[in-house]
Amino acid sequence: MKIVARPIDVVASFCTGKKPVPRKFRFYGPQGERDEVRVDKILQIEESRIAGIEAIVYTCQSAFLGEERLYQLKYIVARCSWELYKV
Amino acid sequence: MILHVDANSAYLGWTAAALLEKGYPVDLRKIPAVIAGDPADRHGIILAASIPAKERGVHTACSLYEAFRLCPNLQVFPPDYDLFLSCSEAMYRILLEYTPLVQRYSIDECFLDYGGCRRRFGDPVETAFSIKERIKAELGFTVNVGVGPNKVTAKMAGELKKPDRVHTLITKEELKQKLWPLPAGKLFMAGKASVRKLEKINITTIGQIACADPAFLRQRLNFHGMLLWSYANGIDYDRVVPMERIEQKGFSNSMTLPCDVEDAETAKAYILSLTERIAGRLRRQGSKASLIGITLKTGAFFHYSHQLKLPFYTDDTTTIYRYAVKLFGECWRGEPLRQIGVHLGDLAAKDAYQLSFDELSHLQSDEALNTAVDRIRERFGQRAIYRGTFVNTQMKPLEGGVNDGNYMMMGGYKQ
Repeated sequence: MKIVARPIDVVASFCTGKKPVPRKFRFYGPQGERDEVRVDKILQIEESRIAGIEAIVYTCQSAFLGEERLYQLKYIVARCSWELYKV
Repeated sequence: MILHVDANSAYLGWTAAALLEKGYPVDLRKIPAVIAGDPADRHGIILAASIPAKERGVHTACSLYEAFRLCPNLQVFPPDYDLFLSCSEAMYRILLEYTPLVQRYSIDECFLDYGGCRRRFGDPVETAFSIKERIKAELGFTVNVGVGPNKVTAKMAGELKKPDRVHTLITKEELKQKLWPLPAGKLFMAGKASVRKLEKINITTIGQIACADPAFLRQRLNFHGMLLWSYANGIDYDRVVPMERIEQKGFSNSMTLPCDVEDAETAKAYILSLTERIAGRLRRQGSKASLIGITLKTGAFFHYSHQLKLPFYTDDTTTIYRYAVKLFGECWRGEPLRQIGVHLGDLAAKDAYQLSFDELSHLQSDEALNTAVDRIRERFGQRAIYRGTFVNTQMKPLEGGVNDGNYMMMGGYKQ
């Protein structure tokens, strides 16, 4: 996987006492084509503090851009924003 | 035992870690790169340089023009002070897991008193390695950790070879082997002036300072000579004190003006905006000052200052401004001004000083006004309320300090 760190729109669920769970996200491909991706599996959740920026990194698996892929989504806590972190 | 943790090329390392996390293709630490202010607003000096840049002669505080002359393919990145604060805070949080006795010496340096946690964490050198590795893995930047019996030896150990290393200066033998062969200028607190004086008496290394007669050093360099002799011999009795227990003895704020100022009214407006900042800092500590000073730097880089001891104590913005303007009027000779600074000293606790009959008439109303302004700024932001002078001008109503005052300076104070 390579770092892309692209901001994305995400539908996520926030439950009391738990970490947010991404359900689906909107992704723009290399030619600008819009794709909505449902998060099929969350394989791993890790907390990250690189450069002091608190974030939660989700390693996920879904079919998008025509194939089944492993990728990582990142939730940046201080900014309440989501990124497609690695593909 | 004391541990000294120092982030390597802090601003650059932190920027590099943040950029890599955003997918930036190269690691700034491995190419000639610098963090520098914007030359357009006359802040074009190098704040941090990568090791490849340092190898080409670029150093902190040199001008961008000079840096490009030394290294034409230099890459320049702007400072992101919010990022620096969050990196510093994250490092401090990790260190607090080891001991509550952590002194933030500056934005990128901390001292840890390891005395009380030996039984919990074991050997200090092993802990130093684990701290270094944890910071690298969790925060993405490297640090040097120095281990010594006191603050000076720990700091000097941390300054030995960089980056990403642990050094010890625990025994006298280590001190002789590692520290004494270094040039005198590498010793903590040995500045350019001290080095010049030492060179005149044929002292060029730290070892020579350590072996010199302390009485002779005192005669040549006064008390500072004794201090250098003690540090060269690894003697220091200063304790690690968490910052919240240290009280500031003086405050100062200054600013480089966007262009040379030649009229008194504009200069006074800048003095007012600096006073707004410095008086707010004074009140936040719960102190009052009786010494007010002003420093000016002219367009020709000529520097002078003027100060006044008041017969009373004050923390009122208007009063401080009134005296600062009086001082300005007395010392300014009409030259174009490049930099203006205001400083306050001779502090007393806000509720423990001798009142005068004169101030009784306006003390309560002044305090009520200042407290209201401070509370509004604390709650709604620094610029939620400001003086009418600054309406419809390009000037900021509060000036001085880095990142609008939200930054940690040397000594661990917010400016």
